[in-house]
Amino acid sequence: MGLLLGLLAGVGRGLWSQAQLPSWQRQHQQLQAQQAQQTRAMAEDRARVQEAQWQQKAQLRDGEWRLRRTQLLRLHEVLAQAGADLGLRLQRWQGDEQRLQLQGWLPQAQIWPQLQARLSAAGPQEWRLHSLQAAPDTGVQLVLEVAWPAASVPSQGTRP
Amino acid sequence: MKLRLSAKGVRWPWPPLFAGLVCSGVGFGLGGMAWQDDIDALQHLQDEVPALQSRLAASPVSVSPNERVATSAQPRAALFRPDARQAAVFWPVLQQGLQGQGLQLQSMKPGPLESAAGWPTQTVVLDVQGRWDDWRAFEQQLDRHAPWWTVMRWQVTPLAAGANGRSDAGQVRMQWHFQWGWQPASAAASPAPAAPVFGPDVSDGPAAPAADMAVSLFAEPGVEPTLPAAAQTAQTAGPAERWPVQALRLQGVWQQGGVWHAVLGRGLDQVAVAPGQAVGREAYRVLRVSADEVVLQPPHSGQAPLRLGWSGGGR
Repeated sequence: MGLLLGLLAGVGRGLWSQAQLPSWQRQHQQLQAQQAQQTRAMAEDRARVQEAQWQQKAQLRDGEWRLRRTQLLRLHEVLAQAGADLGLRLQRWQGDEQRLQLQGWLPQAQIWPQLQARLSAAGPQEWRLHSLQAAPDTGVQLVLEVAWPAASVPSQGTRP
Repeated sequence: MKLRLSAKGVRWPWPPLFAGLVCSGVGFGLGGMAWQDDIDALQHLQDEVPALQSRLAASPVSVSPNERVATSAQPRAALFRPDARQAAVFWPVLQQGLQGQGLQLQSMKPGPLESAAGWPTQTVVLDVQGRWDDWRAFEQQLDRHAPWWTVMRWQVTPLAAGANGRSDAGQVRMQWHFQWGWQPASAAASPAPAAPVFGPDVSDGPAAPAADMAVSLFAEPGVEPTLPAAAQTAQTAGPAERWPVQALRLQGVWQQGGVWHAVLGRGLDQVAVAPGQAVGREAYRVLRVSADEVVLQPPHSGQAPLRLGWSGGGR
């Protein structure tokens, strides 16, 4: 009798499991799909955020580069003007990531402050007279310089 | 445990209820055997589904709002530029731009692609000869049409005298170390943009320098322009007069009308002096200026004159 009852219960359980299985499978598949979609969305969002952060850094760098370009073009304009109306002649015009330096000649000594003032107005900072000496024939040789620190480059990183 | 055998047959050692339970258990197992796979699968799903549900409920829907703000604030169009794939195409375009402006390209040395914060950059060293005004016109075009560069360092000098001993008037030799920033190829989902075309815009007006700037900045010295009145009367007098003389440094000397002058200064404060002039907080007086030094007379007699030389500091 016990054996019979057990058999009946076992069969009943088997049949019930068989009936339940499809709905659980459907629910499981839906959840798996939902999870996959969420994972994908998260990955895309992270990629977008990283992209935005890189772009932000690139824009920052672009701004610094633009500033340096603008300063350089403005200085060239000032030098050209000084060549025309102050008689400035350049023997060397150089710059690096530390400073700018010009070595030139002026027809008269007393006009170097004007040149210095014009350059300082153009930037990037106050220009400093490094040296000034009488030229062999006439006029004066002078060296003016200014600090020009390198644009800060965003910290190194790698793209995926 | 032993089974007892007797004439009546086999006798179970357990009570009948226990035997019934055992039998029903065996029956239950036997009855479910045909659906064992389904039973196992259901059991597995019943464990898995709640775990999945809790995982989904626990994980954030998306990135944080702060990060989203950062994302939405970046217009991609603002960073339009050629991507790294075009670098090889760009250099010949740059070369044509230089030549189109009348400049001679002596050499062009592009460096390897590097990465700064994930963005490709590349240095290029240009050796160029030509007129300074032509270079200025070119750099303005470069800034307008291809604004993805910065200058790392440069040197411009007048071109050395030729074999005949005569320098090429206004010609300069230039070395420019540029750094270019490219668009990462992976970020450029769209087709690579066209390389820039150098040349003056119609709206730019004449590219040549204005007539009053036609004098070459790098020409031989000697041509004195007519100076404006302001330049003629410019004097230097400033806060340097308030410094103690020991803090002043000799910054320049020159001779004018047979009289030596000097520039004394500290940092950006400078003052031009000539013999007889008072200088410094202590009211020293300039005794003598020569090519090597300035000699200052102390305000009180009995003190030794102070000499300011090129090496700096009084002695």
